[in-house]
Amino acid sequence: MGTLTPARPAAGAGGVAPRTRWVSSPEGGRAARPVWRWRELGLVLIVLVPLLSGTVLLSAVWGRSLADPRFWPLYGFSALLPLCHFVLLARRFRGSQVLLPLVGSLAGIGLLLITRLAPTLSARQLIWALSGCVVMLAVAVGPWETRLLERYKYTYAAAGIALVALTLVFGIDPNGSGMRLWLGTPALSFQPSEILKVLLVVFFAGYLVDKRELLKAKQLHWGPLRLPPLPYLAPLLAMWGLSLLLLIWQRDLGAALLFFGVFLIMLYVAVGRAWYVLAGVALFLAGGAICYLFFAHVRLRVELWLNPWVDPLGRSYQIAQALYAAGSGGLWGVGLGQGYPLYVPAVYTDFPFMALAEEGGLASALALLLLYALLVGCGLQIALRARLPFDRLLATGLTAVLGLQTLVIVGGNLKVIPLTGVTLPFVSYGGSSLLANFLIVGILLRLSHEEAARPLALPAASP
Amino acid sequence: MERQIQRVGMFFLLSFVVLSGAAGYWQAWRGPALAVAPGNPRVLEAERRAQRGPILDRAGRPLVQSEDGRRTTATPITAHVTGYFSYRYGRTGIERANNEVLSGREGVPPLARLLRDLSGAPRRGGTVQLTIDSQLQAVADRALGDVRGAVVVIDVRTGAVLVALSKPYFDTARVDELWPGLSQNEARPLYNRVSQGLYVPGSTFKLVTAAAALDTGLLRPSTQVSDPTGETVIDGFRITDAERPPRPTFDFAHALAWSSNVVFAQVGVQLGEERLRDYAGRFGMGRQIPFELETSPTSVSRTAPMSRILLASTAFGQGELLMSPLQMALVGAAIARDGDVPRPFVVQEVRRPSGAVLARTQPATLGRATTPGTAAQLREMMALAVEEGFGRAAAVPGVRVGGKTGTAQSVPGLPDHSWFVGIAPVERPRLAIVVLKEFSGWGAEEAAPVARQVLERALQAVP
Repeated sequence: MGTLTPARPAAGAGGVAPRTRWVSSPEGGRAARPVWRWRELGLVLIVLVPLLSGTVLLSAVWGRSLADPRFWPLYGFSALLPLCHFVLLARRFRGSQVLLPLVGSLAGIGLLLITRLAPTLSARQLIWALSGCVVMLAVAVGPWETRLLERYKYTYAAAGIALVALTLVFGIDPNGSGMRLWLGTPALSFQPSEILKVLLVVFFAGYLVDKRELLKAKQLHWGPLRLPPLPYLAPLLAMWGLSLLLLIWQRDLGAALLFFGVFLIMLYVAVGRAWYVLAGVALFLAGGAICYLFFAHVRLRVELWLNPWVDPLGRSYQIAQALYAAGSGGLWGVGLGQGYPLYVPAVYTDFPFMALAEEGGLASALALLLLYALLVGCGLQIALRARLPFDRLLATGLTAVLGLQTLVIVGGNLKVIPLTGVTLPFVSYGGSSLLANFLIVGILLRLSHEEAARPLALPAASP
Repeated sequence: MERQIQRVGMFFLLSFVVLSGAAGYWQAWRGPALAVAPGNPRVLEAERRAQRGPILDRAGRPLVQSEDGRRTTATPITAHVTGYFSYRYGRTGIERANNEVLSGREGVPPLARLLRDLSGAPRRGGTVQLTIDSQLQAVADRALGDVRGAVVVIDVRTGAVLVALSKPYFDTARVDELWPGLSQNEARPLYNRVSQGLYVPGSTFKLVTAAAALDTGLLRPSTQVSDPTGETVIDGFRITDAERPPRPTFDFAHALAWSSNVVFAQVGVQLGEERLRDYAGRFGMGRQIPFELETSPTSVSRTAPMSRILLASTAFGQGELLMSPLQMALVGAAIARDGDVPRPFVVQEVRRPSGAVLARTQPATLGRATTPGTAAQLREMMALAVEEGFGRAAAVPGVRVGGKTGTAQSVPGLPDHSWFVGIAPVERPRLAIVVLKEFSGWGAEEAAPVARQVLERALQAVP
């Protein structure tokens, strides 16, 4: 509802915002009794159970001692999670107690799967998870303010556009995927689109909060259609253009779908008009249709999606093998370490969901989907509890990034939509993705903390 | 804004429900079919992982074993008994007949099977122990030399097949790579000459004619017959002996020893078609011999009723007769055991993966061919053939051997097939032997010496 718009101290209006004391100077309340987080601790310990039992299972199946170095990353992660909890505790964090156990379980499942699928990569993944947790905690309890995000929105947008431009010009393809989506050197590279998705959400949130009244209010009547003033349609069209650019130039259908979808969701939440969403979907479909007609690689993608069995040994080998894997898993799976998920090319980046579906069966696949659904629910709850429009929009957008990315990759895995190359949040192997997703969770934690720490008596003046 | 966020939540919830449905579709609904689809590499992996059981000879020497999911062979000489096991070309021989036990699908107690399936442990197959004596088979292989042909040795007291050699043979472990050469070779190495080979029996068939004549009371061994010129004419067709008997008149026993076609042609005509067919059938001809390996049914004549000349030529082993070495060995074995036809077998024992005996073949009979008296007379006549007749080359020092040679027309322009069927010792027979050498000439010179070499060793090996 657009009516609930609490007054917020004008940025840079001289006076210190009352809430900043609560946020960035926790020592102010040190005299108060500690803020125990028993629920979080309990959930974290519960998360460790499947993680460690999975480790025992793998050691039994492989006939390797539990002290084998390939299991060390799993022990490291099992220690990391409670550590994160205690850091939050020490910093008198008062936000969501569910978010950390949720992402911990997802990242734990991811690490377990990577240990199973590519033991040599699990140590690297742990390092990325460790870095991700540091980022997450720094963002969640570090001395800064979310207002900074709102204030410098155009800077972030510029940074994002610069990233895209850099990738277009200097992009490399370190792992032979055929798409130049990485920046850096082959040894140490990162995927700008992962950072870009966070920057774009921050920018959208700031921009839409600024312009939402205008986008909502003024409308041009054009027959039965009500169009907003054309200048304000510009962001919609710009975003559409960016998505198509990604799709055509970078062949990155996943990122295009993700960015555009997140943008539509945020636009809808900000302006409250379903019309925008419909128009956006229509635009995207039209753009997709044009691409289908004019670009062979898009056509190929769609054809393989519609019929993966037409060439199961050639172009549709990957999706066909993935479906064999899931089908062989059945209801209860063949058991961790006992299937053949490695027949699926790039299984630990593109198809970890299918590897879990094979070895853990439909039961595990549904459990994983449930975890993601809970993550989305948790994020949206933080959005609902936030009182400032920017915070709401930001939380919704960040949650939508995680949720949509999951839908896009799992939907592609399960042949609901054409397959794209985005990662499964927290589970897929990949440092950039892990870092960006932990950053998102850090911001969500920060938002939930600020809300909980804010005095309830804050005047909620209606305009 | 609140309502929009809630709707975004609903969108994600619905999407996750759709994805769950898709996972259920691929894993529960399509799963069972995908798990066994021909393109699914797991089907082959399961077979490879399964530890297929070994095939042993009668002394427990391994003939075929599994190593790293591949079949390995100790010797190629038992190729046609063990048969081959190929993912591409199927199974033959014992690999086919006892596939369920060897693969571990059968012969595993229900509880052990349940535990195995739950733990995902690979299947282990049971053991098949054969009646074949691989050392004796090697002796037969050397004795037969580098020709196409077959050697069968049966323990007449049980029906156990001790030697079943078919040449040319091949390495069954390499059947996949050898296949093009094997399947197109005009020597037909894939086919088991022992039980599938059908040949004109030549004079060895005179045993069946003699059995009918003696058993019906038409003649006795001492009945005087005459063959003064070595030839006769029936219905305008000239019948000649391969070698004219040394005396113009002699008894019926010598007619067999000297293999007089003239005498047997007349005996056949006097017996008539019905009695000749009856006795051939009593020995097992014309029906499928119950046997673990692939067999071809033998036959007396496709023409019915037979003309006099056809009946006459059938009686001395030409005509339209089609005989397999195994069937001929049964004729010898029946004579050796007082007229009772044993059921031949090559599987001595089938054992569970644990080593416990699952089944042991019990000797059985296929029925009675002649009275014990007739069989005793035939044994003496066979002894005479070795002592005074054409079978002299089969004589083993210190042991009375009975036998009958045969020389059968093969293809016009090529040497004849050479046969020998023998029993030993005549007084209390233990063994029946058949030697067939394709395109090699005279039975007395070619097949009989092979039989002697094999019998010498076999009599020592089988007390």
